[in-house]
Amino acid sequence: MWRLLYQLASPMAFYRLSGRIAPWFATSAMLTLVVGMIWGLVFAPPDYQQGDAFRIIYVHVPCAFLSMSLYAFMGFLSLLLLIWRIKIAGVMLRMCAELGASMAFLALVTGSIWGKPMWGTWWIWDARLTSELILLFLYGAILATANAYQNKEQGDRVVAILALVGLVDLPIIHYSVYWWNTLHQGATLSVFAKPKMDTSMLYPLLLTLLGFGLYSAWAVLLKTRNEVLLRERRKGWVKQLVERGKP
Amino acid sequence: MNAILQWLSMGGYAIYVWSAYGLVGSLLIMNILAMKWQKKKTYKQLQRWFRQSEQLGAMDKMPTDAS
Repeated sequence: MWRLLYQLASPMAFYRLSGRIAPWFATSAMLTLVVGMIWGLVFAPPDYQQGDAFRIIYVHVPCAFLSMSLYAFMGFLSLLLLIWRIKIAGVMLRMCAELGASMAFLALVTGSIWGKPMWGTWWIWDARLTSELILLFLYGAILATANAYQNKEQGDRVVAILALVGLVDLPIIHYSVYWWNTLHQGATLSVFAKPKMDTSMLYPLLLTLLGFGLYSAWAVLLKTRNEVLLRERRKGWVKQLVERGKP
Repeated sequence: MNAILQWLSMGGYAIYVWSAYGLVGSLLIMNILAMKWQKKKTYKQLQRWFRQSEQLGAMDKMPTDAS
Protein backbone atom coordinates (compact mmCIF):
# COMPACT_ATOMS: atom_id res chain seq x y z
CA MET A 1 0.00 0.00 0.00
CA TRP A 2 2.66 2.51 1.07
CA ARG A 3 4.92 1.39 -1.71
CA LEU A 4 2.19 2.04 -4.23
CA LEU A 5 1.61 5.52 -2.82
CA TYR A 6 5.30 6.31 -2.95
CA GLN A 7 5.44 5.15 -6.54
CA LEU A 8 2.49 7.34 -7.47
CA ALA A 9 4.21 10.25 -5.81
CA SER A 10 7.27 9.88 -8.02
CA PRO A 11 7.44 12.77 -10.48
CA MET A 12 7.26 10.58 -13.56
CA ALA A 13 4.26 8.56 -12.37
CA PHE A 14 2.56 11.76 -11.30
CA TYR A 15 3.19 13.35 -14.67
CA ARG A 16 1.73 10.42 -16.59
CA LEU A 17 -1.29 9.90 -14.36
CA SER A 18 -2.16 13.59 -14.11
CA GLY A 19 -1.87 13.91 -17.88
CA ARG A 20 -4.54 11.27 -18.23
CA ILE A 21 -7.01 12.67 -15.69
CA ALA A 22 -6.56 16.41 -16.27
CA PRO A 23 -8.76 16.59 -19.41
CA TRP A 24 -11.62 15.00 -17.46
CA PHE A 25 -11.35 17.65 -14.79
CA ALA A 26 -11.32 20.36 -17.45
CA THR A 27 -14.40 19.09 -19.26
CA SER A 28 -16.47 18.45 -16.15
CA ALA A 29 -15.45 21.80 -14.66
CA MET A 30 -16.56 23.59 -17.81
CA LEU A 31 -19.89 21.76 -17.89
CA THR A 32 -20.78 22.26 -14.23
CA LEU A 33 -19.70 25.91 -14.29
CA VAL A 34 -21.71 26.77 -17.39
CA VAL A 35 -24.82 24.89 -16.25
CA GLY A 36 -24.56 26.18 -12.68
CA MET A 37 -24.11 29.82 -13.69
CA ILE A 38 -26.89 29.81 -16.27
CA TRP A 39 -29.17 28.12 -13.76
CA GLY A 40 -28.23 30.67 -11.12
CA LEU A 41 -28.55 33.67 -13.41
CA VAL A 42 -31.66 32.70 -15.35
CA PHE A 43 -33.75 30.04 -13.67
CA ALA A 44 -33.25 30.55 -9.93
CA PRO A 45 -35.97 32.81 -8.51
CA PRO A 46 -35.01 36.24 -7.15
CA ASP A 47 -34.52 36.49 -3.39
CA TYR A 48 -37.43 37.95 -1.41
CA GLN A 49 -35.13 40.38 0.39
CA GLN A 50 -32.20 40.94 -1.90
CA GLY A 51 -33.90 40.68 -5.27
CA ASP A 52 -31.60 39.75 -8.12
CA ALA A 53 -28.47 40.96 -6.32
CA PHE A 54 -28.35 37.67 -4.43
CA ARG A 55 -27.23 35.98 -7.66
CA ILE A 56 -23.69 37.10 -6.83
CA ILE A 57 -23.76 34.22 -4.35
CA TYR A 58 -23.10 31.76 -7.19
CA VAL A 59 -19.63 33.18 -7.72
CA HIS A 60 -18.89 34.66 -4.30
CA VAL A 61 -19.44 31.57 -2.16
CA PRO A 62 -17.46 29.17 -4.40
CA CYS A 63 -14.50 31.58 -4.48
CA ALA A 64 -14.54 31.96 -0.71
CA PHE A 65 -14.96 28.23 -0.21
CA LEU A 66 -12.10 27.44 -2.56
CA SER A 67 -9.81 30.04 -1.00
CA MET A 68 -10.23 28.21 2.29
CA SER A 69 -10.23 24.62 1.07
CA LEU A 70 -7.14 25.18 -1.07
CA TYR A 71 -5.44 26.47 2.06
CA ALA A 72 -6.59 23.45 4.06
CA PHE A 73 -5.26 21.21 1.29
CA MET A 74 -1.96 23.08 1.52
CA GLY A 75 -1.82 22.12 5.20
CA PHE A 76 -2.17 18.48 4.17
CA LEU A 77 0.51 18.86 1.47
CA SER A 78 2.85 20.48 4.02
CA LEU A 79 2.58 17.40 6.22
CA LEU A 80 3.27 15.14 3.22
CA LEU A 81 6.36 17.16 2.44
CA LEU A 82 7.71 17.64 5.96
CA ILE A 83 7.00 14.18 7.36
CA TRP A 84 7.12 11.84 4.37
CA ARG A 85 9.38 14.00 2.19
CA ILE A 86 7.19 13.67 -0.86
CA LYS A 87 8.71 16.20 -3.23
CA ILE A 88 5.72 16.53 -5.49
CA ALA A 89 3.75 17.88 -2.50
CA GLY A 90 6.21 20.76 -2.30
CA VAL A 91 5.67 21.65 -5.95
CA MET A 92 1.92 21.44 -5.58
CA LEU A 93 2.05 23.64 -2.49
CA ARG A 94 3.18 26.63 -4.54
CA MET A 95 0.61 26.08 -7.24
CA CYS A 96 -2.21 25.82 -4.69
CA ALA A 97 -1.00 29.09 -3.18
CA GLU A 98 -1.12 30.84 -6.56
CA LEU A 99 -4.65 29.71 -7.23
CA GLY A 100 -5.78 30.21 -3.64
CA ALA A 101 -4.57 33.79 -3.70
CA SER A 102 -6.68 34.57 -6.75
CA MET A 103 -9.69 32.85 -5.16
CA ALA A 104 -9.31 34.89 -1.96
CA PHE A 105 -8.99 38.03 -4.05
CA LEU A 106 -12.13 37.19 -6.02
CA ALA A 107 -14.05 36.34 -2.85
CA LEU A 108 -13.16 39.74 -1.38
CA VAL A 109 -13.96 41.72 -4.52
CA THR A 110 -17.23 39.95 -5.34
CA GLY A 111 -18.19 40.29 -1.67
CA SER A 112 -17.44 43.97 -1.87
CA ILE A 113 -19.57 44.33 -5.01
CA TRP A 114 -22.36 42.51 -3.21
CA GLY A 115 -21.92 44.55 -0.06
CA LYS A 116 -22.37 47.91 -1.75
CA PRO A 117 -26.07 47.51 -2.68
CA MET A 118 -26.96 45.36 0.35
CA TRP A 119 -25.05 46.93 3.24
CA GLY A 120 -24.46 50.33 1.68
CA THR A 121 -20.69 50.05 1.85
CA TRP A 122 -17.87 48.48 -0.16
CA TRP A 123 -15.85 47.56 2.87
CA ILE A 124 -16.19 47.34 6.61
CA TRP A 125 -13.71 46.04 9.18
CA ASP A 126 -15.98 43.19 10.07
CA ALA A 127 -14.65 39.91 11.51
CA ARG A 128 -15.43 37.78 8.43
CA LEU A 129 -14.07 40.30 5.96
CA THR A 130 -10.96 41.02 7.98
CA SER A 131 -10.09 37.36 8.53
CA GLU A 132 -10.53 36.66 4.81
CA LEU A 133 -8.26 39.62 4.04
CA ILE A 134 -5.68 38.09 6.38
CA LEU A 135 -5.96 34.87 4.36
CA LEU A 136 -5.15 36.84 1.21
CA PHE A 137 -2.11 38.33 2.94
CA LEU A 138 -1.06 34.85 4.08
CA TYR A 139 -1.16 33.67 0.48
CA GLY A 140 0.87 36.72 -0.50
CA ALA A 141 3.46 36.00 2.18
CA ILE A 142 3.70 32.37 1.09
CA LEU A 143 4.18 33.29 -2.57
CA ALA A 144 6.78 35.92 -1.73
CA THR A 145 8.68 33.43 0.42
CA ALA A 146 8.49 30.74 -2.25
CA ASN A 147 9.93 33.08 -4.85
CA ALA A 148 12.66 34.39 -2.56
CA TYR A 149 14.50 31.07 -2.45
CA GLN A 150 16.97 30.22 -5.18
CA ASN A 151 17.00 26.60 -4.02
CA LYS A 152 13.43 25.60 -4.72
CA GLU A 153 13.33 22.50 -2.55
CA GLN A 154 14.59 24.45 0.42
CA GLY A 155 11.98 27.09 -0.33
CA ASP A 156 9.27 24.42 -0.39
CA ARG A 157 10.05 23.37 3.17
CA VAL A 158 9.94 26.93 4.47
CA VAL A 159 6.65 27.47 2.64
CA ALA A 160 5.27 24.29 4.23
CA ILE A 161 6.08 25.52 7.72
CA LEU A 162 4.59 28.92 6.96
CA ALA A 163 1.44 27.29 5.58
CA LEU A 164 1.03 25.18 8.71
CA VAL A 165 1.34 28.22 10.96
CA GLY A 166 -1.25 30.09 8.90
CA LEU A 167 -3.78 27.27 9.27
CA VAL A 168 -4.93 28.97 12.46
CA ASP A 169 -6.77 31.53 10.32
CA LEU A 170 -9.16 28.97 8.82
CA PRO A 171 -11.31 28.29 11.91
CA ILE A 172 -11.28 32.02 12.61
CA ILE A 173 -12.77 32.74 9.18
CA HIS A 174 -15.28 29.95 9.50
CA TYR A 175 -16.55 30.80 12.98
CA SER A 176 -16.16 34.57 12.68
CA VAL A 177 -19.86 34.96 11.87
CA TYR A 178 -20.77 33.18 15.13
CA TRP A 179 -18.08 34.48 17.48
CA TRP A 180 -18.54 38.11 16.64
CA ASN A 181 -21.48 40.25 15.80
CA THR A 182 -20.87 40.78 12.13
CA LEU A 183 -22.61 42.33 9.21
CA HIS A 184 -21.84 39.27 7.14
CA GLN A 185 -24.65 36.77 7.03
CA GLY A 186 -24.29 33.34 8.63
CA ALA A 187 -23.34 30.21 6.74
CA THR A 188 -25.75 29.19 4.00
CA LEU A 189 -24.46 25.65 3.78
CA SER A 190 -23.36 23.30 6.49
CA VAL A 191 -22.37 19.66 6.49
CA PHE A 192 -24.46 18.88 9.54
CA ALA A 193 -27.50 21.08 9.23
CA LYS A 194 -30.25 21.38 6.69
CA PRO A 195 -29.38 24.12 4.17
CA LYS A 196 -31.05 27.45 4.82
CA MET A 197 -31.91 27.84 1.19
CA ASP A 198 -34.68 26.63 -1.05
CA THR A 199 -33.64 23.86 -3.43
CA SER A 200 -34.40 26.07 -6.45
CA MET A 201 -31.59 28.35 -5.29
CA LEU A 202 -29.47 25.64 -3.69
CA TYR A 203 -28.83 23.33 -6.64
CA PRO A 204 -27.12 25.92 -8.83
CA LEU A 205 -24.93 26.85 -5.85
CA LEU A 206 -23.90 23.24 -5.36
CA LEU A 207 -23.13 23.03 -9.08
CA THR A 208 -20.94 26.12 -9.15
CA LEU A 209 -19.20 24.95 -5.97
CA LEU A 210 -18.41 21.66 -7.68
CA GLY A 211 -17.39 23.50 -10.85
CA PHE A 212 -14.95 25.79 -9.04
CA GLY A 213 -13.55 22.77 -7.20
CA LEU A 214 -12.97 20.86 -10.44
CA TYR A 215 -11.51 23.94 -12.10
CA SER A 216 -9.07 24.36 -9.20
CA ALA A 217 -8.06 20.71 -9.24
CA TRP A 218 -7.42 20.95 -12.97
CA ALA A 219 -5.44 24.18 -12.72
CA VAL A 220 -3.29 22.91 -9.86
CA LEU A 221 -2.54 19.70 -11.78
CA LEU A 222 -1.58 21.59 -14.92
CA LYS A 223 0.63 24.07 -13.12
CA THR A 224 2.29 21.31 -11.12
CA ARG A 225 3.01 19.26 -14.26
CA ASN A 226 4.74 22.23 -15.79
CA GLU A 227 6.95 22.84 -12.79
CA VAL A 228 7.74 19.12 -12.48
CA LEU A 229 9.15 19.14 -16.02
CA LEU A 230 11.42 22.07 -15.20
CA ARG A 231 12.65 20.60 -11.96
CA GLU A 232 13.19 17.10 -13.30
CA ARG A 233 14.93 18.21 -16.49
CA ARG A 234 18.05 16.21 -15.66
CA LYS A 235 16.07 12.97 -15.82
CA GLY A 236 15.91 10.92 -18.99
CA TRP A 237 12.13 10.79 -19.25
CA VAL A 238 11.83 14.58 -19.46
CA LYS A 239 14.34 14.71 -22.27
CA GLN A 240 12.51 12.01 -24.21
CA LEU A 241 9.23 13.80 -23.71
CA VAL A 242 10.54 17.14 -24.90
CA GLU A 243 12.34 15.65 -27.87
CA ARG A 244 9.21 13.88 -28.98
CA GLY A 245 7.64 17.35 -28.76
CA LYS A 246 4.40 15.99 -27.37
CA PRO A 247 3.32 17.49 -24.07
CA MET B 1 -36.89 40.91 -26.47
CA ASN B 2 -38.42 42.63 -23.49
CA ALA B 3 -37.87 39.56 -21.34
CA ILE B 4 -34.20 39.55 -22.23
CA LEU B 5 -33.82 43.26 -21.43
CA GLN B 6 -35.61 42.72 -18.16
CA TRP B 7 -33.31 39.83 -17.33
CA LEU B 8 -30.25 41.90 -18.21
CA SER B 9 -31.36 44.66 -15.88
CA MET B 10 -31.24 42.22 -12.93
CA GLY B 11 -33.97 44.08 -11.05
CA GLY B 12 -31.85 47.24 -10.99
CA TYR B 13 -28.74 45.49 -9.75
CA ALA B 14 -27.29 44.93 -13.23
CA ILE B 15 -24.04 46.78 -12.62
CA TYR B 16 -23.27 44.78 -9.47
CA VAL B 17 -24.27 41.35 -10.73
CA TRP B 18 -22.64 41.64 -14.14
CA SER B 19 -19.44 43.20 -12.87
CA ALA B 20 -19.05 40.41 -10.30
CA TYR B 21 -19.62 37.69 -12.90
CA GLY B 22 -17.48 39.48 -15.47
CA LEU B 23 -14.58 39.79 -13.09
CA VAL B 24 -14.70 36.17 -11.97
CA GLY B 25 -15.15 34.89 -15.53
CA SER B 26 -12.33 36.95 -16.97
CA LEU B 27 -9.94 35.94 -14.20
CA LEU B 28 -10.71 32.26 -14.67
CA ILE B 29 -10.20 32.57 -18.44
CA MET B 30 -7.04 34.63 -18.06
CA ASN B 31 -5.67 31.95 -15.77
CA ILE B 32 -6.30 29.30 -18.44
CA LEU B 33 -4.54 31.41 -21.09
CA ALA B 34 -1.62 32.02 -18.73
CA MET B 35 -1.27 28.29 -18.14
CA LYS B 36 -1.21 27.55 -21.89
CA TRP B 37 1.39 30.25 -22.42
CA GLN B 38 3.47 28.96 -19.52
CA LYS B 39 3.40 25.45 -20.96
CA LYS B 40 4.68 26.65 -24.32
CA LYS B 41 7.39 28.67 -22.60
CA THR B 42 8.48 25.66 -20.54
CA TYR B 43 8.83 23.55 -23.67
CA LYS B 44 10.91 26.16 -25.42
CA GLN B 45 13.08 26.60 -22.32
CA LEU B 46 13.68 22.89 -21.99
CA GLN B 47 14.44 22.46 -25.69
CA ARG B 48 16.99 25.23 -25.50
CA TRP B 49 18.44 23.77 -22.32
CA PHE B 50 18.84 20.32 -23.86
CA ARG B 51 20.46 21.79 -26.99
CA GLN B 52 22.91 23.76 -24.91
CA SER B 53 23.78 20.84 -22.71
CA GLU B 54 24.41 18.67 -25.77
CA GLN B 55 26.72 21.30 -27.20
CA LEU B 56 28.58 21.54 -23.95
CA GLY B 57 28.82 17.80 -23.89
CA ALA B 58 30.02 16.90 -20.44
CA MET B 59 27.38 16.68 -17.75
CA ASP B 60 29.36 18.78 -15.30
CA LYS B 61 29.37 21.72 -17.67
CA MET B 62 25.60 21.86 -17.90
CA PRO B 63 23.99 25.21 -17.31
CA THR B 64 22.55 25.18 -13.84
CA ASP B 65 19.33 27.01 -14.42
CA ALA B 66 16.80 26.78 -17.19
CA SER B 67 15.39 30.23 -16.65
